[in-house]
Amino acid sequence: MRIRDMPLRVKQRIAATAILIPMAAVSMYSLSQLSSLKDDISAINTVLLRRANVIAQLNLDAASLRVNQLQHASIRSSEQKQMIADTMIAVIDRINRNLDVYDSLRTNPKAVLSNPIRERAVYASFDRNWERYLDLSFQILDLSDANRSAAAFELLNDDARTLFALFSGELQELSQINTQDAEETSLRAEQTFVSARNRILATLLITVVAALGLGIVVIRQLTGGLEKLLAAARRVADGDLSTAVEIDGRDEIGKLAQSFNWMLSSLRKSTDDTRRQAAELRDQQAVLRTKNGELESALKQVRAAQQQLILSEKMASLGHLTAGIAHEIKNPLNFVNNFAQLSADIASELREELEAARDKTVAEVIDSTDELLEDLQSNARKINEHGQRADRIVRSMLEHSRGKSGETQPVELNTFVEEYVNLAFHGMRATQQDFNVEIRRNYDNGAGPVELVPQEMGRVLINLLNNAFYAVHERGKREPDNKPFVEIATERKGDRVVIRVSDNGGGIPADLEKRVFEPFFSTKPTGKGTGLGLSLSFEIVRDGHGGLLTLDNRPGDGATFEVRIPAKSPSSSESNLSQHAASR
Amino acid sequence: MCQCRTQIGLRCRLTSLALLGVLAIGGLNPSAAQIAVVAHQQVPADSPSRRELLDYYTGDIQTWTNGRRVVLYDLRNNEQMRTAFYDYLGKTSSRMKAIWLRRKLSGEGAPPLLADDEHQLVDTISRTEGSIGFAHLDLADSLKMKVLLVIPDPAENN
Repeated sequence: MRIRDMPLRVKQRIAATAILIPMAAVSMYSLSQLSSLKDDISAINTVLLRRANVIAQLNLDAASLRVNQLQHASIRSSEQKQMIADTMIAVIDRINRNLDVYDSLRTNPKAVLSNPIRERAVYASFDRNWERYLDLSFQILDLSDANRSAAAFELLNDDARTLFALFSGELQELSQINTQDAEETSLRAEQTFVSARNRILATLLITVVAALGLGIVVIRQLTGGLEKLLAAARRVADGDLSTAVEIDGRDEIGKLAQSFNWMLSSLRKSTDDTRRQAAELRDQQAVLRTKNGELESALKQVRAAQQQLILSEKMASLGHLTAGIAHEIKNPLNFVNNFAQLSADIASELREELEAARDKTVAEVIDSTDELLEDLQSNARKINEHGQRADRIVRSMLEHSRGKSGETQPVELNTFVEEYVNLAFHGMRATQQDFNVEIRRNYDNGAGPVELVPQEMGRVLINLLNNAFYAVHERGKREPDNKPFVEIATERKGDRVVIRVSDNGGGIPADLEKRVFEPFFSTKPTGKGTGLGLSLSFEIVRDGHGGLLTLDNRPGDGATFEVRIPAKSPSSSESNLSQHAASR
Repeated sequence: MCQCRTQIGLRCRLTSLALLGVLAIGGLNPSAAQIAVVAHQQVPADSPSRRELLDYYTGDIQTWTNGRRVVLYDLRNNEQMRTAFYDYLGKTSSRMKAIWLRRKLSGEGAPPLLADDEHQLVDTISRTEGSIGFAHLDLADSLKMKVLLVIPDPAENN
């Protein structure tokens, strides 16, 4: 595997190892050199210098012993002799201790002697001469104690002196040996230090250079790839999707570049797709716009159809109304015609009476014609009465047709309701000759005047009454024994009035009850109703009068519709009411 | 160590004889290679330790347990044996002499008496109460003296 193909963590580990191993080696080497240095210094301090020091001390003590021996021999005072003897005891003790110390230091492994054979030979010679000196010291002490100073001096200055010179020289030689060892060890320590320092510095330098080189290589490999990626990312950010990153190697950076290229490829594909989809979207938008136009056109048509339907509904109610009005007018007209015919007959009879009474007196004429005249007068009154009634009906119809839509007027509720009950009933009778129903009127005398839009509310009442009449009539067909009735009631409840239309028809199936106020919903057979009656009535009551139209359904046994509206329209004013009253 | 205070105990004698017997059977020529620490027969000591032996020879112990003075003997003209003996005690001959000189200066004691040779030494010891010395084992007459200890003579072995 090539190095550039290795994962970054492996490269990192190799670089770290390459740096750490020399550093560890340098550290280990430094530690070993330091340890060696420490051993040398310790050997110098604790062994070599002590050895030299002990030898020097031995030499001094040996000299001191000799001087004291000379003094001891030269004086006669026993007290002074004892004092000098005490001094000599101390010197001998010191010599013995130092010899013990030297014996232990000679074999100390910390500082092996550079020339042990020579040292052993010198020390053995010293020991022999020192022993011989001690042998003489016994004799000298005996002579001195016996105050034989001359003999003592003779020994001291002759054999003892020779021996002293010998072992003193040997002690000096031992001192030289140890001093030389100390110097050599010191020199070796210094050389060790210099050598270690130079090697550590060299190794450190090599390590630093190697670490820098490796670091530069690794960083170049890392940053080179990253810089290419960064440049490519900038080109992509500027909108150039045709770019691609070319990085050799299969490490993380290489894989990242590969992923980047894949991502770019996907992005190009995705962008192409998006463009194509945008074009398709634009086409679809155009189609949608066309469809929208068509839908708007269809909506217009639907609205027109709806208006047509509403108009049909109005026409249907107007049909009922017209039939009722025709019937209402027909009655007084019949009366007028009949009484007019009767009056004509009476007039003929009166003419005959008057021609026959040419010879009679006025009183007799009056008597004979008075009855006819009264009948004539009565007929004229009745003609007038029924004519006025017809006039009233026509005027009412005119008012009904001329009234502005949405304009409230004060009306006497009971009269208003009764008028529409009659219109509706006769309208029904006009279309259904066999229709018969008991109309129960339950008017509240205190219902009083109400402000409403007569045209609109009249349409509501016509609708409710027609439905009630239809329901009882249909049930009558199915159940001939059922005695149909429709009850119309009015009621004043505080500032509101209630108009209630109940019937004992078939009611509305429970599952359809909730839909009765929906537009185009009808329980009547097709062609019998538009399905807009109750829907329009609901809107008229709620939106036109701020009231409520509710249903109390009794499926199979009839239904009650209740109109509840404010007695006084919030939008009307007293002046309107008074003006309307004056015009009437 | 046998605590023979007033007279030579039978047990001490038997111990010495047994020691000599063992040495005579076990060694090829033990008397030639071994040094015996001998003492007067009435010395109340038996197999003293090295430390005790050193204390006798440095003057730190100057009387036996029976109150008699310890009389030390050394050889004048046998350097090898002296060196071997004092090596056994952990001292050099010169160091022992320095110690004795110190004793002499302080008046606490005297250096060992010097025998000219081993024959004189064993003879003297057999006759001197409280005496102690060293000689080759073959010269130690167990009937005349007490053999307290036998130590190898490295010089002879070499």
